[in-house]
Amino acid sequence: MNQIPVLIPAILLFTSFAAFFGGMIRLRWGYAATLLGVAASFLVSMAGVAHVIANGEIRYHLGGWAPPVGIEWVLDPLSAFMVAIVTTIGLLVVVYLPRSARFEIPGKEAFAYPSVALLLAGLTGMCLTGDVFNLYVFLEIAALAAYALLAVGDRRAPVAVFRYLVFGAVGGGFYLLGVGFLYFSAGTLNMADLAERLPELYQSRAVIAAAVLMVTGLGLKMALFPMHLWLPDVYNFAPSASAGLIAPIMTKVSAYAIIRLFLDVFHPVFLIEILPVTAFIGWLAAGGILFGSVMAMAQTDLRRMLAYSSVGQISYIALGIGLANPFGLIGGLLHMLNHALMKGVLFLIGGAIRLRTGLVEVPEFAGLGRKMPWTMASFTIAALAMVGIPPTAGFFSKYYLLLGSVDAGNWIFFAIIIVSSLLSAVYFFRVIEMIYREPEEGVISEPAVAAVPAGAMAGGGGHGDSLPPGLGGGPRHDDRRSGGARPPEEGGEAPGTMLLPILVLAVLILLVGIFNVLIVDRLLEPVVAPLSG
Amino acid sequence: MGIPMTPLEWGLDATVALLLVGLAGRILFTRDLFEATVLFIAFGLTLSLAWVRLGAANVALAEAALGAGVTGALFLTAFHRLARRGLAHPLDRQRYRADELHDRSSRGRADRGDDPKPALLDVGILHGPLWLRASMALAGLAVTGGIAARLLTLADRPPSLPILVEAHLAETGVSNPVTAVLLNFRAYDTLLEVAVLVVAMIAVGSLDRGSRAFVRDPEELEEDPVLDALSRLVVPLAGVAAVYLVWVGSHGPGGAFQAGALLAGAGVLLVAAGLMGPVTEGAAPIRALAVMGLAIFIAVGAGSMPWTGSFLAYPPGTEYGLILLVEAVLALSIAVVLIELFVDVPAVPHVDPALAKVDPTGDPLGRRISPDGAVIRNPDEER
Repeated sequence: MNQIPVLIPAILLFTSFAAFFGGMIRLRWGYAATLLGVAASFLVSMAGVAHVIANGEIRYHLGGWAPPVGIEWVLDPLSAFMVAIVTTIGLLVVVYLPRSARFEIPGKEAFAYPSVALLLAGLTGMCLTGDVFNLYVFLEIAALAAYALLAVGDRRAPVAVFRYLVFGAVGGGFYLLGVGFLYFSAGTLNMADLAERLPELYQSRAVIAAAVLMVTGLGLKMALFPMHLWLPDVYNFAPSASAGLIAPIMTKVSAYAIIRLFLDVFHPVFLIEILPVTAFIGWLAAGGILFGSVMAMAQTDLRRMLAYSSVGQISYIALGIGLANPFGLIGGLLHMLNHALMKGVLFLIGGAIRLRTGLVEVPEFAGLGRKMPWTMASFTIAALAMVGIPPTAGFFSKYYLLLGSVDAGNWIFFAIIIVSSLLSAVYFFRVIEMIYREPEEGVISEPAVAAVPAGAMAGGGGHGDSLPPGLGGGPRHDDRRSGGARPPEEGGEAPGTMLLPILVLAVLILLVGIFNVLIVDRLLEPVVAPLSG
Repeated sequence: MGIPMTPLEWGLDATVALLLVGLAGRILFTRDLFEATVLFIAFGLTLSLAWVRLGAANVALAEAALGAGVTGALFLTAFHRLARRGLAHPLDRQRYRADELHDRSSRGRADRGDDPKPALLDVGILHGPLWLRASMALAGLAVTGGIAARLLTLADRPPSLPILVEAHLAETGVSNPVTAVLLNFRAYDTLLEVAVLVVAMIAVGSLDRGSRAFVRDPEELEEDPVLDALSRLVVPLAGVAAVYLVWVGSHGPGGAFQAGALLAGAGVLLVAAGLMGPVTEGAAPIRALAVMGLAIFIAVGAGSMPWTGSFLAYPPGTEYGLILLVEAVLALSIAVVLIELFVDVPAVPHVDPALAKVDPTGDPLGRRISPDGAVIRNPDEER
């Protein structure tokens, strides 16, 4: 049992090797290795959650070297919670991946499988490590794997991802510089040791600089407003499965790292009172919530709308950090789980729509409700959750955030949460309305849609200039260089391996909503305990 | 350092320091890409001299092999490819704005009302008015200066870790503290660094393949006796040196990363001379070598768990042998990954044929170039 923390990333690292090796021989073997490995890591992380609830935390010393010489790994309620989110989304997307990848990025699957395993290894490692430098190394693994997965999208993806890479490198560099300052000030890299040694150094300007650098670096990585500039293009142009994997969990893990710094490296007092970082994050988050919602309303491309909505939703998590009281932080943490489920299912549904119809523009979605009933039912559940309607999961995280705002006496935050819920109701109900509308005569006769390349379709939202077909957006099926997504396949409901993860996620949104008290009591209450004391 | 420095050493250090600053400034401000490339290589070599002066021979070696050698060669390849497409003019702002290359592939955004400015790194400021760019530069300088000032005035509190490392060195099986940290105390970080290399290779491989302009036809060899003779001379030496570096890593400066970098340099030379094909198209065992370092590391780490009860711990008595084994395989993996990264340069996004011209400077590798920019020997390679 006590090997759990090391098993999860080690399994995934080995999976990446097996997927690479298997994929060299036969694509199917590469996939089988990925599926098995990710499923195993999912099971182990569930065992980890059970273990933490029953027996408390595990501290693991790699190589038998106790810190500070060695690296320590910690499975506690917070890391168990995060790892469970990461591996759950990971497993579901791996089930979804091959069918979608065969359609959107044919010929690139062999690269995608090891990248997925490495991405999950990086993210789970970031959650489990108790060492600030080790966290940096995992951060880079996850980031590189994400660049690989995102850059294989349509023609514009490499440019968008290059920008992400530059932002990400700057963010990682800031974080590393901060780690250096901490090491020179306190002489250790271990989080628990740092927590012990830092209080006497709180007035040291090096430690203050370290805190600012680390939070700024991680803020860049989590796309904290206004450092979100890289995000919309990246999610927009990525393959659906990559967006469905990376949008739900990648930015959350950076947010987790900030929370970990806040609670377990620097004492909360330091970041609340001595250096009011949390208040600053809170106001940035408030701006991000409004900005993301307004921008999402302005989009017609579903993927772009979801990307801007991600900017707003990440800000909810940041708002939880900014409130820095028990209710607020519970709301932020719960929103990590909820948003992972909601945004995951929405991006996966986007991929399913693209597979069956080639559509990405919301105004052309009429009739989808009849064509893909189960997928659209899942979309409706996820959309209701995004708006925050009980009993879906999305309601409860917003509820805790509201309680946190009341506790903090911050009525502006309170108002912003309410207003942005209304805004998301506007843009999601617009989509729902379109889905269940009967198609107008001749607009969506299926053979006609299927015959038009997806790229021309994507640009069809009213651009009047003389771009040649295929430059408008979306993949061109005849484009050899972008790997060339194929023309949409005919058929109604999404294929089974894609529908299953969508349905599971939709059900999870309901279950998490109904049973959120269990999660809060068992896992999140202990996490926020330092704040109430 | 307590040893007083002789005037000669002072002079040497001052020269190296001034050269570094001067070269860096020149690289930043020159408008000639070729000059920048050559200066970058010179910068890498000077930097490795600086490392030698600081007593870090292993870092110096890695810097020379990677910073100057492999990276420099990559830049040269990129330059030559741009030159063939008629894009490698001295930097002229109007023509060479980064978005020139990408406009064509990104215009689609205009129809969403976004600005049509998806340049490679378009933060807007790069093309802004002078006062904006100047104030950004000043702000950057202020932040850097502030950080540097903090670093210089850090409380003089020597980190306690080196003392602890020294205390436990005898238990690690090696006597070089760097190797002890890399492969024993913090072996996990090293394992992950190897994973970083692998994922970088996968990321590059998953992008569109380059035109392989760098890879030469073996038949062409006679045309370039210099490269041929040079590689026949240097490669065996590099191989011997790499073996030595792996072995010496256990008690002195050296180790897998340095040896891998050296091997990679030799490999790049082989590829350039046409004596070796690109690794991706090579035999499966060679491709598998790229992930073998990761695999052997995990296998050793997990395989010894029944004896030690802990991941990545070495059973007592086996440390030296296991560390040497891991180092040797790592060196090979690192070399294969670096060569792969080098050969498999992603394609420059499609450029209109109208833009491609006959390379005025001639092909650096001496091949004939057709008017549409392709190598004549493989006419279908480019498009």
